[in-house]
Amino acid sequence: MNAIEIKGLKKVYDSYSLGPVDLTLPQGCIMGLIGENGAGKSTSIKAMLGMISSEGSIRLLGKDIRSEAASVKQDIGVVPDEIGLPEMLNVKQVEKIMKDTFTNWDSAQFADYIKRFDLPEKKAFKTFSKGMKMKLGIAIALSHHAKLLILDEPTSGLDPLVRDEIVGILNDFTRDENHSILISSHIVSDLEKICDYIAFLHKGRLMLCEEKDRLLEQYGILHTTKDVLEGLAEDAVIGKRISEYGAEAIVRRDRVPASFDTQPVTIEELFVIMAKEA
Amino acid sequence: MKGLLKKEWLVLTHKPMTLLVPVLLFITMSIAAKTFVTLLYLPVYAGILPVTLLTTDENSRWDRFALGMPYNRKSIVSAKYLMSLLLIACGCVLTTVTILFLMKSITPEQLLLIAAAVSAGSMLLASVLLPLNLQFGTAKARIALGVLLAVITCISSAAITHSSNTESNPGFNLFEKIAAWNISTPLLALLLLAGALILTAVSWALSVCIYRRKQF
Amino acid sequence: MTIFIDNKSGVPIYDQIYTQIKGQIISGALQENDPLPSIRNLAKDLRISVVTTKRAYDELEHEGFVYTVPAKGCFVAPKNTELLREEHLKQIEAHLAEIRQLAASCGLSRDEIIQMFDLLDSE
Repeated sequence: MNAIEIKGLKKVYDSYSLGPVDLTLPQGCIMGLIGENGAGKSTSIKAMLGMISSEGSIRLLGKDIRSEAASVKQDIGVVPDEIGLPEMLNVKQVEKIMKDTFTNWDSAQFADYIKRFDLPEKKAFKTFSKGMKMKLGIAIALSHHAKLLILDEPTSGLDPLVRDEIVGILNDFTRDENHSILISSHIVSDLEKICDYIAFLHKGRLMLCEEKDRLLEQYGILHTTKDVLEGLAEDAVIGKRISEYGAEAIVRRDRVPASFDTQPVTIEELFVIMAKEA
Repeated sequence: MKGLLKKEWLVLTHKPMTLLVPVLLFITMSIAAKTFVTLLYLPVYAGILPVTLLTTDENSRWDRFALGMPYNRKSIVSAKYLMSLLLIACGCVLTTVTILFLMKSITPEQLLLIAAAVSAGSMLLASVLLPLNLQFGTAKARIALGVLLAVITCISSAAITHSSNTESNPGFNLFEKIAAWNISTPLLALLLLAGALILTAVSWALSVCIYRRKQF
Repeated sequence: MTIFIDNKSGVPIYDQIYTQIKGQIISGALQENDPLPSIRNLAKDLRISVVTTKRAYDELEHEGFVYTVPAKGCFVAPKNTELLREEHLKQIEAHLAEIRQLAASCGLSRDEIIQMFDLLDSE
């Protein structure tokens, strides 16, 4: 079963439109949804969860989100970009609500995360910093035996220490082969290492959705001269930067002679180049 | 839905004094001034409180967050209405008890009628306010709130003035006029209540419709 | 089992894992029938993709260095002497190619190379 199966997702606004988008996340995998601000990452996630109306078929954990929304969400942990808990409530009160919300709520697990994240139990939510709010959101998402985690920009605004901690937690979540994660971010470096799949969203279009390893193998950075670059096959170069001192290009490895020495490219570099050329 | 109700309850009661002080104020002022006018603030207050729940939701951006959890839109609306009915019931009880205290000579039938009227009034308020707030947001709907309050104040003041024969108001007694219709008081009370409940149900259905179409 | 991943080397990560595990099997650091960490746990411990570790293990199994028991995991295959010989022969070929290249660059003849080898042998 696929954790996420989306076909033909479309959403039209006045100022921009998203899609059509086809996205599949096999169970047990982590997918990074990468895109600039306004690319459509949040829109996609909101559509996936029924927060906004949309066209197309959306199945999460094998169930149609439109007809079975509430029951699917028992098994999904959602961390939106804003944790919308009532500001005056504290962690203890939030737990009471969650206990009555999720059938599989695990109080012990929640208490564990609260302790681990060092969150105060009796202080009002509005006193929390952004990082603390996010941590609480993650604690909630991880404390009801969810099989799928969907996170929308969970690390933006957080310091590197916290981000590393969160990446570690997400990594551990998928030690279980029945657990999957979809995480959207514009901080690519957080996702690069642990993701199995990468999807690039740019201006409402899905540029690609592939196994991260294949992407990194397919493309490389070539440092050479302008002339050499011009001598390459047309579809070999997907983006370039030419200066006084030489040329740097992101190339398709299979379209470039084997003798050329290509360096590894990062997902971030790849995305920037592809978005620019699109 | 249990989680939703718990949330509404926790939000409402997080500072109990904020909730209770106005109530105590209305009651004591009524008793002190021996008048019903200030007492009517109670059911009005009960009818308006659900709007504060909506305001909290808006400020906390709860709606979108809630949709990431296993709630459907219908239950989110229903929880508000249930809470609102609970508040109205409390308001009704407090009002009628205070009236009993103020007007020892009142008959049980009249008391019943008052209870029904007061509840109906609150329900009317809530029924109008909830869909309006859901549709337009609490900032814009505040205008409607103001208008409604003005209208209610006028009507209820008039009703009170004309409900007993005093020197300032001979001739027109609301109770007598109603009695002239020859409907028994309990029946009237029942009709009022039934009407209010039907109105609430219609309002609920409308709210569900509105909320279902909202984009977050 | 020690595995180091070098992100900057340009060598695909699955290849690095494959090479290191293979090396440890050949050297004897990993014994026959020793269990390997599960694909998932290895990936999570190294903080890399499951797809990567799976590929490394698939490659190792394809080359005969490990075998999989369904529902139990991956284990080091019994030392296949043929396989090992193959492996060593490959390495010797690679070294020989290097020697040839170096000899050419300093003008050493075939006989001189064999002389050097005999000298080594007699030590």
